[in-house]
Amino acid sequence: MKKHLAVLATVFLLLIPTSGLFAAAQEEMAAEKMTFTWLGGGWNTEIVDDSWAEQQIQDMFDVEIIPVNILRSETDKLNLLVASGDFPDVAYWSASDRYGLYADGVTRSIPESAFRENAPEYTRRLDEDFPWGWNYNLVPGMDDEYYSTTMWCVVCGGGIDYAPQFRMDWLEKIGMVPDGAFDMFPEASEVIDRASETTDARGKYHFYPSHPTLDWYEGVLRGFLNDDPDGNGKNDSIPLMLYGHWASHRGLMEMFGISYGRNLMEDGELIQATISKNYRDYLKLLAGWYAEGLIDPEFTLLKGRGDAEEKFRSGVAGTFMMHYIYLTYYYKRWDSLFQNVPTAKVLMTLPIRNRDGRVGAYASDLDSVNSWTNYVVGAHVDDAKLAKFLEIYDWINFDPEQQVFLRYGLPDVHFEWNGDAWASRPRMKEGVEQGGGDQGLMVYPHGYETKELAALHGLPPGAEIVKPVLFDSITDIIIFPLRFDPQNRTNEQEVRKNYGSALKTIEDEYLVKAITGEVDIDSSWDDYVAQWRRAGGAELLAEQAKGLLYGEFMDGNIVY
Amino acid sequence: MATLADRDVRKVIRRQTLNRAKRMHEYYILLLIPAVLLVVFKYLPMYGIIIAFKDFSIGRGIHDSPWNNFEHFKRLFQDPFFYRITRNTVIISVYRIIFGFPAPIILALLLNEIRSVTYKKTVQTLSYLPHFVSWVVLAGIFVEILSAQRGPIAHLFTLVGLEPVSWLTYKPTFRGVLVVTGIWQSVGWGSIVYLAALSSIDPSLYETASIDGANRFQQAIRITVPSLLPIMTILFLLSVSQILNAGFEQIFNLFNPAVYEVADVIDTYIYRSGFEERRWAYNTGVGLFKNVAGLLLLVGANAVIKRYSEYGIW
Repeated sequence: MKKHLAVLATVFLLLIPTSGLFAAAQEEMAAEKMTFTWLGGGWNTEIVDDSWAEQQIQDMFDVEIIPVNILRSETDKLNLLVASGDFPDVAYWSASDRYGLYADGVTRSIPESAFRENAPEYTRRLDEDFPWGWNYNLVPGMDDEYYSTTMWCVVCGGGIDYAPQFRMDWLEKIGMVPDGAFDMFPEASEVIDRASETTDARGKYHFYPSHPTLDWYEGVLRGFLNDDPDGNGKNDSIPLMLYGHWASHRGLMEMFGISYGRNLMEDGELIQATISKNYRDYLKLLAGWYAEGLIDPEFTLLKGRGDAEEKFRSGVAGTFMMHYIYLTYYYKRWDSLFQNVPTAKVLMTLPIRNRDGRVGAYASDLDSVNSWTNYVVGAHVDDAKLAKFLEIYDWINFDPEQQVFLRYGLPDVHFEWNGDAWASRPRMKEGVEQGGGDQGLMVYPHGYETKELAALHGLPPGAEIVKPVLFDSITDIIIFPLRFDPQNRTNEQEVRKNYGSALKTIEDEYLVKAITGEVDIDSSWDDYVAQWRRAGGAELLAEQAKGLLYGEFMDGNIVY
Repeated sequence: MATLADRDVRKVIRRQTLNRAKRMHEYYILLLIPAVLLVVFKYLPMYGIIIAFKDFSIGRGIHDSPWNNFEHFKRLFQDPFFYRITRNTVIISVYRIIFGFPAPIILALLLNEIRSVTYKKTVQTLSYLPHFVSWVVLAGIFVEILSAQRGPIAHLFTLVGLEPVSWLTYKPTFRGVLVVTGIWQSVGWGSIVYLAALSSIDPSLYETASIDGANRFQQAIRITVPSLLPIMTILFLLSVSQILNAGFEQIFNLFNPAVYEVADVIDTYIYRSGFEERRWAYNTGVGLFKNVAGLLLLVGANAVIKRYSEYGIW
């Protein structure tokens, strides 16, 4: 028996190095083909190996792709991926710290010449349509080396994304429907009916394309509190929901001329919105509302937008700030609200106008170029592999057919055209998922909304009504930063890394204490600002003061 | 100075050891496997601790990253919230020890007194269940139960004419919620080790005590509790060494800015500043600080206990 045990143990020990030999042999076989470890753009579903999209790229370029199964939403896993030292060859990186990856030596730079030689369509489109895009993602101190690709979007940039959403049926109950609000889907429509299989959109979605006044808004909140808008005979409705993300203040805070995360000049000094006197006035307004019972008393328990959505769907809340796309029906975000409360309807308005006439909005993007996500290339990737990647990159994003196929698959196999072929929005067939899964659709292409795709997509039902207003008509109210650092020439990122958490803790805590009346805003304000500055805020402002003037950068004047 | 006889004795002992090793070599080979795993996965990674003293960059690697003159520790100790998060961590942990440590012992003693096997097993199983539910799920349940707007407790308060309490946003109640929900979640699982210890007590002790006229309570106090003392001591020492780990998962899922002042602990604060910002070296520094403090607490508590009793880890 003992001998058997010994033999087993020895065999086990021998197997460890032997398995390494097998792995090495396998790697050698795979080395005949250029192999890419690839972190793609999956958002909601599992990314699988040997997907249909992966096969297309492999066949076309005679390469081997090993997908990394981490979703863009899994920040913790992405950070661990960096920490593990196994950063993939190419990665679609959502976080704002692409430069940080480069500075840490995790990723490599891409010469402009490499783009021009291997990605001619990317280069041509950037040259012709967005030439200032070449100013983004530059390695500091260089004018022809980039630490990531640059994305652009022909239908993005400069619009507002969050706006007040109300329970329209509650407004009707208290007699406060604004004049000019209209039903977005009064008639049955083939497009709408095909987009939803659960609820009928007709009569449910309303839009008010003007700025309600603060007086009206307060009247609505009081009506929601006192007039039993849900008709259950109890005084239990929640007029205004805030939640643990600054997005819940967009459309309100801006009527004081400030927007979270944006810097501005006040009394001759560059400051952050959260230490501005206007912010103090905003907090006083909220504190008054809270004392009156107009704000959800448990708002601090709603950690994010998802929690607030859930509460709104349950039918207990009257209004909160939400992304405009939720009003476009196509995404069916409020279906469960309509199922819980069959009489429910929703209304979106533009941001609220203050009593002094001020109105503002947070910009969804600073620019139509360089929005949020871009591809980065691992530091270990050599020039030959980089060249191959750029060839693939050009093909998957700008080839007339592939920019559709790798997003939606093949017509009649994976998707159907909503109307005429190549002239209407593709609609996925039942059982085919976009954003990962067995087919791998949307995993590899960049998030470009090119001219061709924009023409093909059109806008989802409802967005064609809302988006022109939010993105074209009211751009003059958008609050941009006074100074920013698009080329990472200042030390702002490092300062944020060191002090960002303390500053955010101070801001979050003071916001809650001020609203709930735990502190008297007037008497505690100076201490709050002083604490914020001591905790690293002063250093942050000093770095931001070295940044470019946003307006001048957009005019092409890049002088630090 | 070693005598000839000493040398002979040592030689004999060495020979005996070698002979025993030869005789048992199969077992030593088997021992090799976990030993290798232990070294590879537990000891070799400790090399990485040195990044706590470096301006670590993943690109440069551990070896080539420059030393940074204890910068991470300076930053930690100078952080405006260092005192607060350390205070909260210690207070919450001490509460857990005071109220949470005796709970599984009491449960085990009570279970030990139950004569109906079916009833005992049912209670045991039910008490283990919460251990298997993640705090992400439990937090969602407790938020609903403790809600001042729609929770059953708030409803009861209203029925008896009291003002509902928002337990999770009210500073005076938040730590209590942590301790109580923590005990509820872990008491069953924690009692297992005590039940195992109870099962090893010689039944003749109870029989003798019974013949001598001891009642059930006296038997529990005179026989059961003293029999549990060694395991209680070891678990207490381990709890003390964990004082700087106040229970990240539970706190992170239940707390909010309204209670940061009493609930933000080292781990939650460092999660926000270290993990989300990829400050690995800083995180390692904080981890090292916590571990060294934990080790010192363990050694200190062990020394105190050894002084006044025969139990202890070393």
